Amino acid sequence: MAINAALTSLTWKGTAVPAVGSASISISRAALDITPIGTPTQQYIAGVSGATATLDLFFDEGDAPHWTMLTDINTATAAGSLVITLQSGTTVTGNAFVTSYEITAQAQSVVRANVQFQYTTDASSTATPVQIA
Amino acid sequence: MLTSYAGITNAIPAARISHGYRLQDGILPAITYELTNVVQQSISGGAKLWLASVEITIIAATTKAALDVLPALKIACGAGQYNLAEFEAVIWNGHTTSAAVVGEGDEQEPAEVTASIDIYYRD
Repeated sequence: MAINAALTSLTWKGTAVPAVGSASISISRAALDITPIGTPTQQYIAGVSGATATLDLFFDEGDAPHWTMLTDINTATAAGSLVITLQSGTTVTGNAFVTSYEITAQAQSVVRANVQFQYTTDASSTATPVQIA
Repeated sequence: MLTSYAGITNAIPAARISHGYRLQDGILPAITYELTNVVQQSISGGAKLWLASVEITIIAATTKAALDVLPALKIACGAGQYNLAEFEAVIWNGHTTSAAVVGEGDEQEPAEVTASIDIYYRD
């Protein structure tokens, strides 16, 4: 069954983010090449996992979370919680830093902002950077 | 939005601003408007952001008379609170001009200037 892309909620640091045009999360885990010299086939072990997220916003500085994300890119000292809840009830949760905030204005359109996040975990944590439940 | 700006209603009374159609023998100049498309823009929870595409046509006896209303129409098409809806942004995409057609009876057609705008609003 397909899931409607309209989200139940999307929050940054506990506050609902309005006017989100699109949201995407990329979870990756590197494959580390451990092929010995002279071995005829490649061998790998699984590396560590990481995740990034991207939001496309209809930018409005009057929407508090839009402004918070913009200031966080320079001033945040700790990762903030980014929680996305799909209509199916599935929740994607993690702590992330804002790593990029690109504002674009072009003719025949409104101002858009592309915001990128890097998920992270505490150094002592064994949890994955993003929890999907 | 159109009837909220005196620059429009001074030139064209609100009674001559109508949705979709006007009477063929109606007094000119007049304005008709048509909602061509409404598309949801945002996916986040709470109030959704919508994009409404609208075409507004100024109808007048001559091209000049129609174009004379255009500056006021550009001003009228601005962000603001209109009745129960808040238009967050209004994008003026451009306009086209059609000259009047000279002829007899039903062959006659007035001049038209049709503007295309996009309205962003939240429900």
